[in-house]
Amino acid sequence: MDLILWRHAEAEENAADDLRRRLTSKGRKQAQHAAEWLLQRLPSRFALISSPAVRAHQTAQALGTPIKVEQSLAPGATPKAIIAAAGWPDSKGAVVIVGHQPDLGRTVAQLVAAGDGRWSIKKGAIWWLSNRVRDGDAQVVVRAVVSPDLL
Amino acid sequence: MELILWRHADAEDGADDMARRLTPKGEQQARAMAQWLRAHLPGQYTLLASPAVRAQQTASALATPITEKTLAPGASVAAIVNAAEKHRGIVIVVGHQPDLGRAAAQLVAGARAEWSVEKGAVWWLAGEAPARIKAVVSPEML
Repeated sequence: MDLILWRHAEAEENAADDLRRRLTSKGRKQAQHAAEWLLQRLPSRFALISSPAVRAHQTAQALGTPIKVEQSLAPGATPKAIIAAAGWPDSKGAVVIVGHQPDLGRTVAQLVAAGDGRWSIKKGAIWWLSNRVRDGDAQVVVRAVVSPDLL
Repeated sequence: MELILWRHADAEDGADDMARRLTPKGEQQARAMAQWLRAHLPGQYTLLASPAVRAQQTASALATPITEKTLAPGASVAAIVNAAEKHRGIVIVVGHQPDLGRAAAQLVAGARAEWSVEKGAVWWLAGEAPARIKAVVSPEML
């Protein structure tokens, strides 16, 4: 399967309610650029699953396809919760997860390096992983890592 | 430091491994990746390449490389890091698998592991170990 982990784009600060923070105008542009990049590369059918936080949902909306909101992807999500929400590694096709740091960075550290690190993922950046079996071993392949400044 | 690991593009089969040339597809992959790099690199960088023809051809799509014999197929992680550390700023290393994937695993995760690096792909690492993965791009993703 293809697992695309997408961190929400730049959001306003200083909101009383973290879950209601909205994207800034720069963040909306970042989300739009990343969405265009994704739409050119994703298969025609894919699942889109977002954290319930407004900044994640707004980021996901840039793709223009139906969004499944998953409460377990809210800020503070464990790698286990993210991996379960994505159905990794057995889902068919592609799954796009929109979430938060350090949650997504911990998930990629676990999937790619079997480690407990907190890998850096910039706002609006995308990590695209896929799995395959080679010589009888299950492998995780990092197919792409892109951030808004490199799109 | 920023280290860009660039695996040679698609190459022909051949008895003499060092003399294998890029296929037409590989030449196109190298050109496309060079164009992406040009769009995102600052003005100054150092381009190092394995002496293998397929690595030389890949690097040459970007600029004339400095040939480093220690980057030939089978290069150790230490050889790759040492070659890069002789230079300042952004260093691009054009080399081979599994060598580049081992270097990425060591620098990013401090692990002895064989990470997959696709033909013609670029892994852009930033900072001292543990390095941050700034970008990963393969020709199929351009």
